[in-house]
Formats: sequence, C-alpha cells, structure tokens
Amino acid sequence: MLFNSLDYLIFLPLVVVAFYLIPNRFRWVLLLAASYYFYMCWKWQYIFLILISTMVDFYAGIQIAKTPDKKKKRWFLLLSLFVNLGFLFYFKYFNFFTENTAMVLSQFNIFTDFKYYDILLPVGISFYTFQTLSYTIDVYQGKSEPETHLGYFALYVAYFPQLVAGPIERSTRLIPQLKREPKISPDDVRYAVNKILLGFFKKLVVADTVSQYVNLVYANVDGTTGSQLYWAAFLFAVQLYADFSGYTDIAMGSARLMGVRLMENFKKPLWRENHSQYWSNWHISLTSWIRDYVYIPLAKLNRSKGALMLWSIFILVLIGFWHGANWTFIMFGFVNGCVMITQRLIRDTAFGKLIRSNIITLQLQKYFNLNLLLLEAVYFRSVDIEMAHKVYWKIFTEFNLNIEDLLSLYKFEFIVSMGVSGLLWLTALFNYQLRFKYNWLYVAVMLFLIIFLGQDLKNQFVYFQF
Amino acid sequence: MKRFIVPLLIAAVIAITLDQIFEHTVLSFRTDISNSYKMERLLGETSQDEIPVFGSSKGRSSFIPDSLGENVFNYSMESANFDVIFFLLETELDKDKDGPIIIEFNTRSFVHRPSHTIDLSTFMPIGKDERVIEYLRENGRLDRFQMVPGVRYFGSYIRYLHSISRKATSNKITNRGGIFIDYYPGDELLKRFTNSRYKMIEERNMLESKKKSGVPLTYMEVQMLDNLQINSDFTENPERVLKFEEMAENNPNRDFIVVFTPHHTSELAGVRNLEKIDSLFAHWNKDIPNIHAFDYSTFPLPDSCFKNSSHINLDGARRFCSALNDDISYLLN
Repeated sequence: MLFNSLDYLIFLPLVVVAFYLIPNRFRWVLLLAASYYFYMCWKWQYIFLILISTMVDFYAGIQIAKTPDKKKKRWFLLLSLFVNLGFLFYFKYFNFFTENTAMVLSQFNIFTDFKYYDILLPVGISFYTFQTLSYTIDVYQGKSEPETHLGYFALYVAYFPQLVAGPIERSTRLIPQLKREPKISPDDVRYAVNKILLGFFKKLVVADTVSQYVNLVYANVDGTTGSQLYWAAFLFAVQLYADFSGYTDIAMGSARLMGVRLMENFKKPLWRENHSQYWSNWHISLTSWIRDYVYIPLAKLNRSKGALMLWSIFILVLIGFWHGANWTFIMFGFVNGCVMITQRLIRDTAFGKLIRSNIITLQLQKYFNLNLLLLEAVYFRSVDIEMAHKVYWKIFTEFNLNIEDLLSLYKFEFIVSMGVSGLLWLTALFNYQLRFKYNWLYVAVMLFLIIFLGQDLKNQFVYFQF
Repeated sequence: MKRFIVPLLIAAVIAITLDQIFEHTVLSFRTDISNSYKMERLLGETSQDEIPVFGSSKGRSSFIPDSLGENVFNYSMESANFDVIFFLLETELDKDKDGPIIIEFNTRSFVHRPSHTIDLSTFMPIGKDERVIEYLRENGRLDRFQMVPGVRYFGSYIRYLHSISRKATSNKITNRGGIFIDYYPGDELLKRFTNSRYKMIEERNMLESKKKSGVPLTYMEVQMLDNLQINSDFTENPERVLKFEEMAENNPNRDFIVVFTPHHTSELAGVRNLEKIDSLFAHWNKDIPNIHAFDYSTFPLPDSCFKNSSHINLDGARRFCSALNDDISYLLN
C-alpha cells in the first residue's frame, strides 16, 4: 500500500480510530494485523520473510541473553546475521555478485554458466533487516534487554508507518513506546496532521512534479545539453530529498497520531558546510546505524589517522551499496567518501579556517558543497557508470548560461519544476515542531497546494526500491 | 477537535468552490488543441459532414485540416495509440454517419499500456458520461476520487494549465485541433537529436547481442532493453489488429483511411520489422474493402521539414498533406 493513495487515506483513520477504541493491552494485536495487512497489499507472499526474520531474531535475542557462554551467544548472533543478511543478499545482491564473479573469472578464461534469476526485491527489506539486526546486536552487546513478548517484538519489526522506508528505529526507542499507554495531546494531533500534510506536499507536489523533468532529460542524455543535464542533476537532488523526507514526514505524522515519536531522519541536510555535516543530517537513522555497528567497531581495531580515513570511505561505499546492487551506487559512496576526507583535511588548514571565519565565504562554501552533492547524485540516478560519465562529460564541456539553450527542450516541465522547488525551499523556513500562529491557514494552504499542484502519477517512493 | 474540523471544513468548501469555478470558467478557456476539449467535442458533435482525424502527437502535427477539407477536424492527442483511438472510434461509429475517418498509424499504434497512454485530464471534464466511466474502468484507470468534487481534478490541473498556455504564437499555428510549428531546430540540434536515436539503436543491438550470447543481463539492462524494443520495432498485437478489422467490417458504410505518416530516417532506422507493416497494409488494402492504408513513412522530406527527429514541422505538414490529398481526395468527397 502506498502512502500516496486513497487506500492509505482510508486505512490510517480507520486504524487510528480503532486504536483508541480498544484497551491498551490489545492494541499491539490491532497494529500488528494492520501492519501485516499494509505490507501484504504489495505482495502477500513476502510477509513470510518478515515472519521468519521476526521468529529467528526473537529466539536469538532471548537465547543470547539467557546463555552465559560467550561462544554460544556469538552463535546465536551469527544465526541472526546469517538469516537476515542471507535474505538481503539473495534478494538484492545475488545477481550482482554472480554476474561480476563470472566477469572476473572470464578474464582468466574460466567461463561459468550461471543463471540470472528474475528476483523481485521485497519492499523495505533493507530497512527492516537493519532494524532487526540492530536489536540482536544490542542484546549481544548488553546494551538492551531482550524482548520477551513475541507480539510486541513482531510489531517492532513490522510497524507499518516505518516498515518500508524507515526511519530505522532502535528497539530501546520504539518498543517502550509501543507498549505504553499513549498520552496524546491536541498539540500531538496538530503536529501529526501538519507533518502528514507536509509529507504529501513534498511527495505529490514537489517530488512527482520534478521527477517528470528529470526522467525526460535522463531518458534522452544524448539529445540534451550540458546545461539541461546540470539542472536535471540539481532537480534530481530536490526530487530525492522531497521524496524521501516526504515519506518520513508521513511516517512520523502517522505514528504520532498513535502516540509514537519516530526519530527525525532529515535536518535540513542540503545547505551544509561539508559532506560530514550533510551525512549527519541526511537519512540520519541509516548513517547512525552504520556509525554504531560498523564504523565504531572498525575504529576500535585501528584508530590511526590513515585508518580512520579509510574506514570513512569504506562506510560511505557501504552506504552507497546499501542503496542498490550496481556499480553506480558504489561509485556514489566512494566519491562521497573521498570528498568528505578531502574536506576534513582542508578544514584544519589555515585556508579552511579562513573560509569559515567569514559569513560570505562560508555561504559560498555551502553553495560549493551543494554543487558537489548534486554532481555526485548523477551516479545515483544513472543506470550505469557509462551513462554517469557521459552526463559528467556533457556537463563539464557543454554547460553555458544561455537561457534559450536551457529551455530548448521540456520548457514547461522545467519552469514548473523550478517553481515547486522554490515552494520546497520556503518549507525549509518552517520550525521542526511545525508550529504556526494561524495553523488553520497552514492546513488550508497545504491542502490547496496538494489538490491543485499535486501529481496523480501513483509514483512509488524512490526509497521503496532499496 | 474543533481546531481541526474547522480548517478541514474550510478547506473542503474552498476545494469544492474552486473545483466548480475551474469547471465552469477556466475550462472554458480551453482552445481546440486541448485534449479535453477534443474529447468533449467528439462526444457531443452531431455534424454529419465532419471528417475526424485520430492519432497521436504525430497526427496532431501532420494533418492540416484546412489542407484536407473544410469538414476535417484533428482529434489527435499526444501519446494516444489504439488504447485511446479504439474509444474515439467507438464514439464516432456510434453516430449515425457515413463519412470517412482518418487514422494516423505509427510503430507503437498497437502497444497496450493504458497507464501511459490514457491521460486522465483528457476525460475528467466529461467524467460523468457513462461511456467514459466504462472506458476508464475497462482500462483500470477509474479511481474513486474521480467522483469526488473538489479532488476529482487532482493531478490534472497542471496539464490543463499547460494546454491553455499553448496558445498560438508567431511560429505556432493551430488549425481545428492540429498544432503546426514553423520551426527548424538547425542542423546542429537536429543532428544531436538524430545521433541520440542512433545511439539508442546501438545500445539496443548491443544488449540483444549480449543476451543472445548467453551473458546474463542485469535487471537495469533488461528494463532498458524492453523500453528500447517497444520504442523502436513495430509492436504487433494480433488481438488488437483483429479488433480494429472487426470494427471496420461492422461499419461497411464508413471508410477507414489509415496513414503511416512521414518519419525521419533516423526514426525508421531502428525499426527492423517494417515488412510486417507492409504485409499488414497489403492485407488491409486487399481483404477489407473499407480500410485504405497508405504508407507515407518514407515520404521524401528534407531535414528542414522536421521540428525534431520524430515530428514534422509546418513546412513538412504542408508538403505531406498536399501529396496525401491527391491520394485520398476521392475518399473524402
């Protein structure tokens, strides 16, 4: 079930009303049933993957806490890792690895006859897999107690507002909220409604509008100019941000209606001084996961300056690869990592300090950083490395400031895209609590914009494919 | 609670009011090049003499009604193939008329992709018409919100604004539903467009060779190949061809003039099964008396007659219509 569908607009109020009609001790039943239904609307067979992950991790968590033997604990952790990462590997990375293995072997005249499997990626697998893994790792490390109630644990794994595209929540944060009697105030309801409206605005008005120009340009790379490709790169960054943060807004608003506070996943990430700040404020739940479960253990192995730089690049490659089984995502991560390290090295020099000392040069630095980000996003958007390099070549050799050249193709789509991007920029001025002096005006304006400028493309959220 | 019900009520009143204003005022600014205007006109038009032209954007920019006859109206709409044209034909054939019907033909005419080819903004203003409701339902394009005033035009407003903004300019001429641009992009830009096509053909051939040699394609490559093949070779669809033939046979008093409009050489270069179109046309001309198929795909037009690699410009349309008129004037009179 998509958030941006009439089905969800009927589903959510029904679930919320039923939630408050039943006693707290049975609410987990309702939410679990609703969550499974929500997921099964997409493809019912894949619910078994979630069920298997749930059962394995529930069992592993209890056994890890129960047994005093460190070796046995490790075995149960490995069981959880094996099952969860096994599913992830099969559905997401199997064809990529076999294809590339075959390619490498063919260089040594070893020809393999492997089959390409037409595997449909289960929606949200990268998200819920990481979520359940964080649980078993935390129990193993003694950071949290195991959950002994299967129902609440299953709900933690499958909680519908954040099941398919995050935020990736830690068990210590989410499970207590699911258990306790929600204390919801009028301010919570206000926040929830405002957040959901903001999410729909970002998705339907901004992301889906802008995607039309981006898709047209990327479907015709050879026929478009460097200027058009540069602006398509800019608008793709806008699309990605609006799409993903829009989803998160709807998720947060939906959860808040039932008294659950999901973590903030985006904190105005695009206008930042450097990539470190960007990654600290973009998809925060994923970057903090990677930091806590990959980077910190690696840093413990070797804390030398060179090693830390290497780990930084490695985790960004991992973040890129998490997004998809394609060399473009790996390159995306690698380039990001290299830029981040370079910026760190420059930051501590006299030049770096000079840039930060002046407000104008600081803004210029943010502008420069934004340009680097949107150029890196070309890898993210391209179907393969060759296409990405073709786009880069054209941007750097054909870019000009000629407006006629820019508007020579897809003029209407470009103008409308820039218009809605301007509206998105205005929403960056909102406070995080979405408090307004005249809230009724905010609601009315948002509804107006969604109805009149929204696109009915029934586009899936971009991050569903991860 | 009051804090939320009141703004929601206000919003609902505003939405419904604006919906009504839009329907009764803004929509009236539609010109005859707007798809929704054309649809509404076709449903309501009762003239016995009108000769409709149905087709896609190629049809819209190729057939000049004034060049073909005073009763010709160009109902062509962008992206329309037989997903849409069948419905237009059914609507037209329901009328008590005898005259001919002109249909633009291209290599994607029989591709069945209603989510891509059926633009809801075309049909929403006449969304209460039973025929339209049934048509949208059959093609999986009927949505519950389309019945709700205030939100039924959701997703379509921008499209209407786009069509209203497409007024005639100094180099753009409209003529009874057709849009003709007196513009040539220049040798360099046209070359970029055509090179882009040749590159897509190379890409398709490369992927097909890879597939044939047994090397597994990545998921992305499979998607790309599907798209490249749909957009180049003639997509056969025997079921739809049969449906069209049955339609013609059930209406022997109407002449169906099928025209394969002029294509740029770069566009035809990617089509490897042109002989299938040849045999289809030959079959129609020989076996079905009231289908008259004309192949103008290789009609000799210089590059200066194209506004891009897939559409002819005003000059091209004039030359094409002049030649077409010679061939079909006996059917139009």
